[in-house]
Amino acid sequence: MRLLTHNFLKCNEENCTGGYPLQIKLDDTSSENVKILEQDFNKEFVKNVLSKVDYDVLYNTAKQFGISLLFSYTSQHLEDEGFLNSIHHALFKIHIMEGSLICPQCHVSFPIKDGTLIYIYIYIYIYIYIYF
Amino acid sequence: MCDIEEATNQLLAVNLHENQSSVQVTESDLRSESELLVTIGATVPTGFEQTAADEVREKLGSSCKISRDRGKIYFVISVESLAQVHCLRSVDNLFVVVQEFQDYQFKQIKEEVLKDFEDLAGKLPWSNPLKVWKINASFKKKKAKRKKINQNLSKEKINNGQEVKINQRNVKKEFTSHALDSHILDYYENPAIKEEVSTLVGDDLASSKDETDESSKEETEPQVLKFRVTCNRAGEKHCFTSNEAARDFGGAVQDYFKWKADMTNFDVEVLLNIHDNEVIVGIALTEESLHRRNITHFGPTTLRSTLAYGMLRLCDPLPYDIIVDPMCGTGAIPIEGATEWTDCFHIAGDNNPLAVNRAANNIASLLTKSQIKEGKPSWGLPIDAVQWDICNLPLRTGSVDIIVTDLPFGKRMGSKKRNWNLYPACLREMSRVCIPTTGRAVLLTQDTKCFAKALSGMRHVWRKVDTVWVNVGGLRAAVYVLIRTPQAFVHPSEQDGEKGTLWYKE
Repeated sequence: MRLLTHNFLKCNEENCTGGYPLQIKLDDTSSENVKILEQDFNKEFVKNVLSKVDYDVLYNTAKQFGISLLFSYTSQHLEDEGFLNSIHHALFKIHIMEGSLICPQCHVSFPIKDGTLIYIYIYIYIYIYIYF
Repeated sequence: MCDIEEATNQLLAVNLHENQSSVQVTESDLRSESELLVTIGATVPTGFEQTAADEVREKLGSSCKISRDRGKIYFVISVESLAQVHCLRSVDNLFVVVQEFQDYQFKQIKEEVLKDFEDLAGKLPWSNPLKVWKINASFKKKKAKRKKINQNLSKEKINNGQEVKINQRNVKKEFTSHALDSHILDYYENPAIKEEVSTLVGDDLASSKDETDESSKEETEPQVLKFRVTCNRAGEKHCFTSNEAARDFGGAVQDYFKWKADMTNFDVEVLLNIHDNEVIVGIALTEESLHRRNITHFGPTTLRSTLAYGMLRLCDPLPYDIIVDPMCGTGAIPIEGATEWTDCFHIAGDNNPLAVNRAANNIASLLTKSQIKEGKPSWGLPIDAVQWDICNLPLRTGSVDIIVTDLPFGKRMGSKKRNWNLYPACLREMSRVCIPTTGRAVLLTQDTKCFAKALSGMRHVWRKVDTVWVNVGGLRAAVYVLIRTPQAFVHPSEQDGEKGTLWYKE
């Protein structure tokens, strides 16, 4: 699961307000909980996607993975290759393989197994079986 | 895709070679081979003829004619772009047209009609289409070689006492050679098997050398081609059946060319398509349908990749869009999007862990496939897989540009009864995550009655702009193209007097 996807995720509990952003907790017991995969650098895409993501959230999350982005950016920075490259690295190349996402408000946690996020409440799961 | 590029280079080399030989042989032929124009016919999913025609215009620059026989389009190209034709994503099968009769007059008596067909075989201009077929076969041989190598590989694995599963899978004709590649490469993860694999790779190279020796021997000996005739007949006023037509036409073709008839192991497949008064004779260019690319792990309701491409084209993705499939199943639509529209980001989700597993496996096998071809060490695709519940998506309000999905029909997946609750809940949640004004949704469903009812309650957020009727596995389904209205999403608890969502009366 990439940081770009993480940027769009929020807690969907009924009465939970402020369930964004979700906190990332890495699984320390597994050997490879973060993978860096290369990806084609598409300059235009990075420039445009910056307007869609919440930059503060991205900045804080990248800090957790040891990547220091600029605290804020202006339109001048959008032309700077180095800045765009660092954004591309943070958004696309980091893959969280093992860990969990925790809502800061209601503290529900959702596991990430083998790169796939499992955002399902257990009680809903049981509900589906009873329905059948 | 890279093998197509290599094949194109091969094709151009072959073309040049043919150019030289043809100039030497026939000096009277003023037009050179490279200007040879051919008419290619393609079968597309019914309903998506227009999108396929758009794709052909965009990628090949030629305009299409859509035939009265539904599901087929025809276009004219030069022989040089034959390799590019195989790169079209919205076509299932390709054939080169030998001759087309717009208004063929069938005689009234069966014997006379069949005699006409027999005479027809000798009068058709076969030389150009056969040349095209030969060019096509030369770069298909490369693909066939890889298949044979994989089969050898599996046999050796059995000899080593390895899993018999691989051989069983090989026997199933649905799986292409790529399936075996991915399965073999999953083995790479296990270090104990790495040694054995290295020996197998050595055998692989040895067997491929044998293959090249064999194939060069085959080319030097003049081969008798094997053929078969397939006839598709549609129309009410015909006094003959397709089998009779195929039989007699095939007999005449055999007399004319002295080929051998073989129903299963054929080289040339001659097509005879009859639709009312329109008769088209063609030679097939594809053996197996192109619609099962990309997917290696299938589920119960995997969508054809050609249909997925058509649906994605309908929603007209702009660059840098976020495209979500909240009920992806095996991930057919997001994977097709990730290979074709690489400048968008795709998110695939499903509530069933088996489906998410299959989607993740499909993505992984696609990555390994591109790894072998392009030799790059682990590159990523712009796609992520999540397991979630569509009635309660964990996405921010107004964050997604496009939603493309295949709703459960209620036949193989889910039930019609559940759809009455599911469809309105889906539409509501999708309207929340979609960006107002610019957001789009393209939804495929067979349960049109339920969908129409659900949509009628959502007119303030979704506006229907188009409906395309398609044929999915024999079922008449519809693809709805919806646009999100400018109205911002309001939480239901803040709305007063909402009908249909209350379970009880207050």
